[in-house]
Amino acid sequence: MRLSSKDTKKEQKSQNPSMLTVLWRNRYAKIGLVITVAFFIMGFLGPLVYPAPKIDLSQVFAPPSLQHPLGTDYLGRDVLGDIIYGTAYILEVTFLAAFIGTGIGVAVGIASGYFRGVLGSLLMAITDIVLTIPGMILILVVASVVRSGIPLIVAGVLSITAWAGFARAIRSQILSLRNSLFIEEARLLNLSSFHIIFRELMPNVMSYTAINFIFSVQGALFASVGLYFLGVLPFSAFNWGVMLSEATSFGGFLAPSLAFYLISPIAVITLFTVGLIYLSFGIDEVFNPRTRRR
Amino acid sequence: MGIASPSQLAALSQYYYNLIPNQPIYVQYFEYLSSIMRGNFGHSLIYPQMTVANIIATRLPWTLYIVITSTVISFLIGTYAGQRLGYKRGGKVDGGVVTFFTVLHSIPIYGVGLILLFFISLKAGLLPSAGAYAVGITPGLNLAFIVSVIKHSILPISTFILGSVGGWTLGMRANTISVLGEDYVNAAELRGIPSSRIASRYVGRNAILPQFTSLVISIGFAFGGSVFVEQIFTYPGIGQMLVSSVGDGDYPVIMGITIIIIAAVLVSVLVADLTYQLLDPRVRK
Repeated sequence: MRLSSKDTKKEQKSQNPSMLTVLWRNRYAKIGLVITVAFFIMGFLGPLVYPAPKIDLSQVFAPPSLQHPLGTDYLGRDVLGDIIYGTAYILEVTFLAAFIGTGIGVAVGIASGYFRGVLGSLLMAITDIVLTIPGMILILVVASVVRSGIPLIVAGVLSITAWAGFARAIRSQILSLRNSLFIEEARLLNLSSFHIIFRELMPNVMSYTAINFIFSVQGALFASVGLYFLGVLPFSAFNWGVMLSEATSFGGFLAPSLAFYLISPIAVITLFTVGLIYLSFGIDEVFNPRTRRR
Repeated sequence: MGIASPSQLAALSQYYYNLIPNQPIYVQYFEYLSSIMRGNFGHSLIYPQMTVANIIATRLPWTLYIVITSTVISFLIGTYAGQRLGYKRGGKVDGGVVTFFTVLHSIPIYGVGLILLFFISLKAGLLPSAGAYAVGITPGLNLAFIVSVIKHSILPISTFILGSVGGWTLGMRANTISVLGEDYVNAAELRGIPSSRIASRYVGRNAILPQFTSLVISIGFAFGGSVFVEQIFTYPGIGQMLVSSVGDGDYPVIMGITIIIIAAVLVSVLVADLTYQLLDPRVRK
């Protein structure tokens, strides 16, 4: 088939599209991207335009109205404001936790898969032990000892066990990759381990890493809100988990308009999670050109 | 407690924490390990007359009842639904149902629990909101007790099922679709084998293997989830005990419960490894 020069150009462009273009072409990933970006806008720009919730004891448990689109809480604070002002903290904690967990997972997985021998066996032994510990239980116990709300510390606690399963998966991929022809060629060319790891192996596990990152954000979201709900971490203003906890404790269950106060945090967590899952549907196409639709 | 002599303090720490403080740390550690092997976990700081082993023994059965019942039901529903969906992939029903299960899977377990508690128990008054059985019923093998136990467990069990069935369904759907693409399935169809037999013998048997592996991981998850579910429904299991002892700083109880849960997960991993051989003839030696 002969192509005019214009077609060739077009063809080249569609074969090397940007990450956003690929995500945008996938129906699910498009929805996921919109939801995720919306949460970032809500978290970091929302507090600039939406008034901060104020205590108003004449408005306790008010039903939804124009002034309070989602009603008010047990202190008469605007529920939508509570949600918006709590978003930035959640984003910080969950993305930090995903960075830490995924980072440790990649490092341990590649190191134990590539450098076999004592180091590899030792790392895998530690990983296997961590894998048997139910994550939520250990997180709960450690969080109760640490008792800090600082995002970096909370994120560290949340990643205590999260990295292990991922490290194991990366290791098995590295083990099969290191026997493949292109790695053998790279070794024959006497390329450094640094080059082989970061230029040859990493791109091959990128798609898996990105998907794991997204699921780590989701896991950290459930766990961090859960810790605040259980009251293990120190209470703070504007926090989704504290909202849930207060909705159930301060006589809220008896108030007629509680539904909005209780369901709003659950609904935003669910929406954020759906967005992340949908986004993950398109990630494979970004990093793996072979699975892209033509 | 007033001023105590060093020997009194040592006796107290041995009573509660199961440690002999005058010994070097590695001796303390092995003493602790060996007394755990003998079932001695020390005493609760909040209920000093109760041993930690006693507390766990009265609470563990409730957690096991909820966790095992809900995991089995959820596994069966999800596996069945997932296989049906896998066969109907790409259809109109499939897209809608996948979205439904994705959304269901995206609600945190405490969200599911709070919604059920609020609407079914507190608003509609259909089922009890707290406890494992009604106050005033004597536990034992009588009908009133059993009915009460079942009634009280419907909401916690439903919470677990709703929280996990989406994962089972989506997992089984993906497995079924990948097995359907295998050559031996096409070959079986060409040989004219009835499709019901292909579905059960060729596709189902192979697609269920990864599900079975996740069953083990899900038991560990279920113990984590029991922390939230038991807290929400004030259910007297070890999850609720863990949360309250974390709040009270009751460290002997925290240690005991954590060790028991990890032991339970290890046992289920072992059972799964041993039974996997029965399911998959390829791994038999």
